[in-house]
Amino acid sequence: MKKIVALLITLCLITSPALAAKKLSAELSEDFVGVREGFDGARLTVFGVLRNKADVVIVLEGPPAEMQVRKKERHTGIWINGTPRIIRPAPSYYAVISSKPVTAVATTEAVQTYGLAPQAMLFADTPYGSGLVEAKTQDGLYRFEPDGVRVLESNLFRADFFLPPNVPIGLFKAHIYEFSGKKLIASRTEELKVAQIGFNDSLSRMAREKPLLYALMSLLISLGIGGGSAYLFRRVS
Amino acid sequence: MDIYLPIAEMSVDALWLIGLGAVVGFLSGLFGVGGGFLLTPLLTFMGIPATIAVGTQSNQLVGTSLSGALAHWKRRNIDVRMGFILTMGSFLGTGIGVQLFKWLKQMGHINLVITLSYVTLLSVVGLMMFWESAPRLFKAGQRFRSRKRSAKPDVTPDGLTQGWGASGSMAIDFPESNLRVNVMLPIVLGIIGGILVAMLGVGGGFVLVPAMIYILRMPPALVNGTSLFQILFTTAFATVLQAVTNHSVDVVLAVLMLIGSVVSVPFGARFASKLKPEVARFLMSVLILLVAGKLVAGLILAPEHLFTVEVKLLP
Repeated sequence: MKKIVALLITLCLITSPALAAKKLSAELSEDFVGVREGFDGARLTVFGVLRNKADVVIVLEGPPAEMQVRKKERHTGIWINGTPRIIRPAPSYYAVISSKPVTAVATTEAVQTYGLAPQAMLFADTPYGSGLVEAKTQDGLYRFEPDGVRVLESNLFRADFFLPPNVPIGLFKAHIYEFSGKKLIASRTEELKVAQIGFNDSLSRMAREKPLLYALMSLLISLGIGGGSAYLFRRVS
Repeated sequence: MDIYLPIAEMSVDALWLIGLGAVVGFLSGLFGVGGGFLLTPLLTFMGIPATIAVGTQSNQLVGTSLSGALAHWKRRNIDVRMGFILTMGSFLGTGIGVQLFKWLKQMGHINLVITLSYVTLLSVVGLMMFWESAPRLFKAGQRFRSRKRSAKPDVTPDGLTQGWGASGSMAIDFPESNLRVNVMLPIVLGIIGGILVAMLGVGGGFVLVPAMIYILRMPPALVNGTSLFQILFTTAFATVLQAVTNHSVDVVLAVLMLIGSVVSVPFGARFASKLKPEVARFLMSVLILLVAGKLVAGLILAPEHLFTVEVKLLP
């Protein structure tokens, strides 16, 4: 919190004379999120300063992915996955947060161009594309919050993003768009890295890069627990 | 107490997992079964992907079967030669199963195949136990006519039980079991066991144990130990193959469940002596049928979400 306040003050100082230059002042509260053993999600704050009567829309986009989308179909009474459709690239995480509903802030073209609404995502006009958006929204990985940005006095704004526990690992980009009179007047992109760290990181890296070693280690651990418990219980009884 | 599973890439409550391991461990001790066939469906009910549940189960079973096999080893209840021949078959079966698993995963039908297999398996086992235990329970005291046992097994001139194909050229002697049988028979049983481990994450004891008694004609006293001995090697091999081929072994998940189960198995075993066996089997059958029912409901009720997505991050 202290850090945020300090940064806000600095931002104010920097931006007041620089308003004429069409630069957007905004900052992420972190540029790195570590996923540890006890990870249960993380909060990320974007804050900055707007020009008078301007609005802001922030798009936080996770690393691109190939999505294999399957639809359940009913065959002889049971629900079975149909043939998959591949959608690529699609963001593994996608959140749009704005101060007002995006249609009130930007033109329809801008909403489409910058992907500011669920139906504006590149692939969303196909049944499987909208299915993807639906499934990811259920998982909490696609989020659209038209009232998530709080504009405080003196045009300071703050937006809180939640990265859920199942957040994808990789490089995130925060695109911050400033609109005035439905026109885009400034934009800016910040980066954020999400990575497994510590014990978690070593394990998942080992499982990916040295699967044989990982398997042998897993074996030894369970042999140890199984054998150890057998020994202990024999001594106890 | 949330803990992040590094391979499943999700966070779950660690106490729930330890608790689940403990409950299933207690039941294993109580009923003398491995419990894998309950644990995999229960894990998927918790939201853990079926593929990870199956792969991880083989790792966890290594620990439980070692502690079981050690107890039988001390009492010399293991036919080592039979165990190794079963293992030869089951390695082959595991190899087939893991490849099949990989192929079905690519086709997108792995979850369906796992669920259908479980429904079949749980229904058959559950109904058999139910039919067998319920009448005894409700007509307690009334003696049941014991079914006619098959005629005494034939005996070879040198005094060994004559199994299937005992006079053929593939026959092999098992002195510890006092048995002569065609070597292909235990190998085929092993293959079936191996496929069960790789595809379903179960030890397969509940299939192999009766088969070893009635088909192989092994002495019942050696069957449980020999089956566990074989399961130990098979699950170890399956762990390696699953980790290398399907990246589906989550060691954190395995350790949590293992901790729960090793502590509670002995309590279950002790409690078993206080419970009438038919009561135990009846309760077990009801539990198995409930799990099967929940799985069936998942198959036939309209799904809450029609679309499922598999994510592959682009490099």
